[in-house]
Amino acid sequence: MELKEEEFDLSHFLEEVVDIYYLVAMEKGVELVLDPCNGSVIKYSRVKGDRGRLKQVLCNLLNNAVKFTNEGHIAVRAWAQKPTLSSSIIKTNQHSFMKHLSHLFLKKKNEAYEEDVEKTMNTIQQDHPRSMDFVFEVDDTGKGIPKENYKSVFENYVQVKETDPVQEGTGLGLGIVQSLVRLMHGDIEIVDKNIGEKGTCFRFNVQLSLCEGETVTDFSARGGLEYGTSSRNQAQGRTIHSTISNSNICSMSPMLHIFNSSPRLESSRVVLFIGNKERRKTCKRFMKSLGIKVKVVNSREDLFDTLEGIKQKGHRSSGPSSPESSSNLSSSHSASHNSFSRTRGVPLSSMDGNEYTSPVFKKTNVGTVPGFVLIVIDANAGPSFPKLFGIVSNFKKGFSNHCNIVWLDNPHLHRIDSKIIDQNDIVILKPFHGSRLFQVIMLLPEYSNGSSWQSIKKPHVRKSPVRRGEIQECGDSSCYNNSLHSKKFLVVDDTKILRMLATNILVSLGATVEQCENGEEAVRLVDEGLKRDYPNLPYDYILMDCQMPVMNGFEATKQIREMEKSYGVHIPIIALTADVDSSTAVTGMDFHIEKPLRKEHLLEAVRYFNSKE
Amino acid sequence: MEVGQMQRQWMGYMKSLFMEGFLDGQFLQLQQLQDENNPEFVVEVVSLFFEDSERILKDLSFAVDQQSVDFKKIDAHVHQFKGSSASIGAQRVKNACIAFRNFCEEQNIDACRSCLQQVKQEYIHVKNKLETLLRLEQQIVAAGGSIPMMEWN
Repeated sequence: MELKEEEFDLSHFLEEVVDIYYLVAMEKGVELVLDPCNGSVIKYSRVKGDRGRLKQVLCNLLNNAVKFTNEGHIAVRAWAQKPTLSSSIIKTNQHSFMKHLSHLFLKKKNEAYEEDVEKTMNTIQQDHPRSMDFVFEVDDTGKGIPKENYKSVFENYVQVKETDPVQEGTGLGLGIVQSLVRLMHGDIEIVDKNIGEKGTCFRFNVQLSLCEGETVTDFSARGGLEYGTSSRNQAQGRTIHSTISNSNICSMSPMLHIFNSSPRLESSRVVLFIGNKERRKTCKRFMKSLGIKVKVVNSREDLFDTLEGIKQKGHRSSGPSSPESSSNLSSSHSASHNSFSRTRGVPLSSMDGNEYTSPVFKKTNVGTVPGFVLIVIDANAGPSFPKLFGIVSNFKKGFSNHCNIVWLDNPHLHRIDSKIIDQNDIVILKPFHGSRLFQVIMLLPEYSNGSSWQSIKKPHVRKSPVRRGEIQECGDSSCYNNSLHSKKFLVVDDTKILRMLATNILVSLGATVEQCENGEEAVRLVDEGLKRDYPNLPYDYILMDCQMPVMNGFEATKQIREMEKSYGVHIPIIALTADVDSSTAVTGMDFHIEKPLRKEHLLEAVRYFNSKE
Repeated sequence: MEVGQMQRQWMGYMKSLFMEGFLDGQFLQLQQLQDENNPEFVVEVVSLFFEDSERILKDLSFAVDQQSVDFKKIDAHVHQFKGSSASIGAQRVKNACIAFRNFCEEQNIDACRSCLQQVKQEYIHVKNKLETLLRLEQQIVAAGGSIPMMEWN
C-alpha cells in the first residue's frame, strides 16, 4: 500500500467528518463534540498527507462509536506534538496536557500562566519541525470494551466500507484501521478512561508533513452563522456567508497571536448556556485557555441569576473611567462606544489601564468595547424558547454595555422563532464546535479589528434584497421595491450580458423572468404560451431588444401582434433601444426604454402601463 | 494595510475611474444590484464582459482582415460590443464603438481598421482598471471590511 500525499486543511477536515456523523449521532440522542484541545491543530492545520486514508480511519472509529453508544456523548479530540523516532504513540497522555491546561484555568498568578503556556507551546514549536505527530482520540460513553480484549479487537480483519456513515457493518474493522495508522507512521490503542466513566477511548497518531506558508484559517469561509431578522415571512434568518467575510474576521487567524503571547483578555465576558455537558465543558475549557472570562450556566434560573449579577456589576462601577483606558480605546470606535466608556467606566474590577496596551491588543488592532457580554444560548437547553428569550431581552434592556446573543438551534427542529429575535442576534444551526466556535470567539471585541458587531449591525453595505410582501410604488431605486411582484417578463436580447442585467433588475423587483436570444425565439415562445395559458397571458410584459440577428425586434413585434389578434389580447411590449432615435415610433411597441436597462426607466414604463388600465 | 486605508484607496480609485471616463453610472447600478442573495454579481458580470469581449475582438480582427470586407457583419459585431460595454458602464469602450459604427456605415476600411485598434486599446485599459478594482475589493473583504457604497449624482 502506498500513501497518497495531498495538501489539505486538517482542522477543516476534522470538522467536516465530525459534522457528517453529528446528525446520525443526534438521532440516537448522542452528542458528538469536536474538542479543539490546546488549539494546536488550528495552528498546524495546513498539512500534507493521505487525507483519504485518514478519513477512512476516523470514519471507521466514529462509525463504531455511534453504533455502540446509545446515550451520552462522543468526543473527538486532536492535538499536535513533536514527532519522535518511534512509531508508537508517545505516552503524552491527556493528563500531561490537561495539567498544563488546568494551570490556565485555575486562578494563579499571571506570570505562572504565561510560563506554562509558553512551555506547552514550545514543546510543539521547537525547531519548527517540518512534520508533526498528530494525535486523535475518539472517546465515547457507550458499551465499552473489556480490558482483556484491548489487544484482540485489532486482530479483526474485516473489510470496511469507505466513508459510509450509516454502515450495517460486520465486525469493527479495527485491523484495517491499525494497518492504515501504522502505514502513516503511527499506532492505535485503547486508552483507559477515568474510574467510573463508561465507554471506550481510542487514541491513534499519525505523522503528517506541515505545509510551508502561514496557517491561514478563514473560518468564515465555512459559513454556519446566520442572522435573525425581525420582520420575516420566512422561518430562517438570512445566511450571511458573504457578509461574515465582509465583517471583521481576519483570515490570518489572529488567534495565533493569542497562542504566542500571553492572553489577558478580561474585558469581555461570555455566558454559556449549553444543554450537553460534554460540549459545555469543551467550549468552556477552550475559551478559558484563551483567557476569556466564561461563566457556564446550567439552568434557566442560573442564567437569570448570572445575568442579574452582571447587570449589578455594570451599575456599581459606573463613573468616570480612568484616563488611560479611554485614551487607549482605538479610534475606530463609534461615538456611542466612547460615551459608554466615559460614563460607565470599566465594569470589571480586574481591569486596569495596562490591559489596553498589552501586545495582543496592539497586534490585532483592536478597539475594545468595555464590558462586552456575549451570551451563547442553546435554544434546546432551557424549558421553552419564549422564556429564554424573555430573560435575555430583559437583560439587554437593563444592561448598559454592549451585549450580543448567539443562539444555538437544532437544524431539523427549529425551536427559535426567528421572527422575534433581534436582527443582530446570530443563529447557529450546525453543531457548536470547530469553525462556528472560532467564529463566535472572533466576534468578541478583543479579537476583531474594531467594532465587528457594529458592521454586523449593518451587514449589507450593499443594498438589501427586496422584502417579499412589501409592495411599494417607488420610482426611486433606493427604497425596497417589490412592485413587479409575481409579474412575468420575457427578456429578448442577443447579448448575454444585457439579458443578465435585465434579468437581475427584474428579479430584484420581484418579477419572474424568461429569456431568449432573438425575435424568432420570442415569437415562438409567445405562440406556445398563448396556446397553453389562454385566457391568461404567458407574459405580463415583453422587453424587446430592437437589433438582433435572425429576426429583429420590429419584425418580432409585428408577428406577435398578428398572433394576438386571434386571441383578442395585447401584451405590452417594451422596446429596448440603444439610441433614442427616430425608430422609436415603431409599430406595435408600446413604450421604449434606453439601453442599457436601468431600474428607474423600467419602473417608469410599468407605471405608464398601470396608468393606462 | 488596514481595512480603513484599503477602503479609502478603493474610493479614490473609483473616483478616478469616473473622472477619467473609464466608467459611468451604469457601473454603479451593477454594484447596487449586488446583495447577499447575489453576492458575486459584479464579478460575474465583469467576467462575462471580458469573455464576450475577447470573443468579439477576435471575430472583429478576423472580419476586418478579410479580402472582401463584410461591413454589415463588422457592424453587427461592433453593435454587440457597444451593447455589452454600455451595460457595464465601460464608457470609453462604448464611445469608441460608436465611432467605429459610423465608419462602418461609410464603408471606410482603413478607418475601420484604426477604430478596431482604438477599441482594443480602450478595452485593455478598462480591463486592467476593473481587474485592479476587483482585486482591491477582494482584499478589503478578505481583511474583514466591506465595500463602500458610492452615490453618483
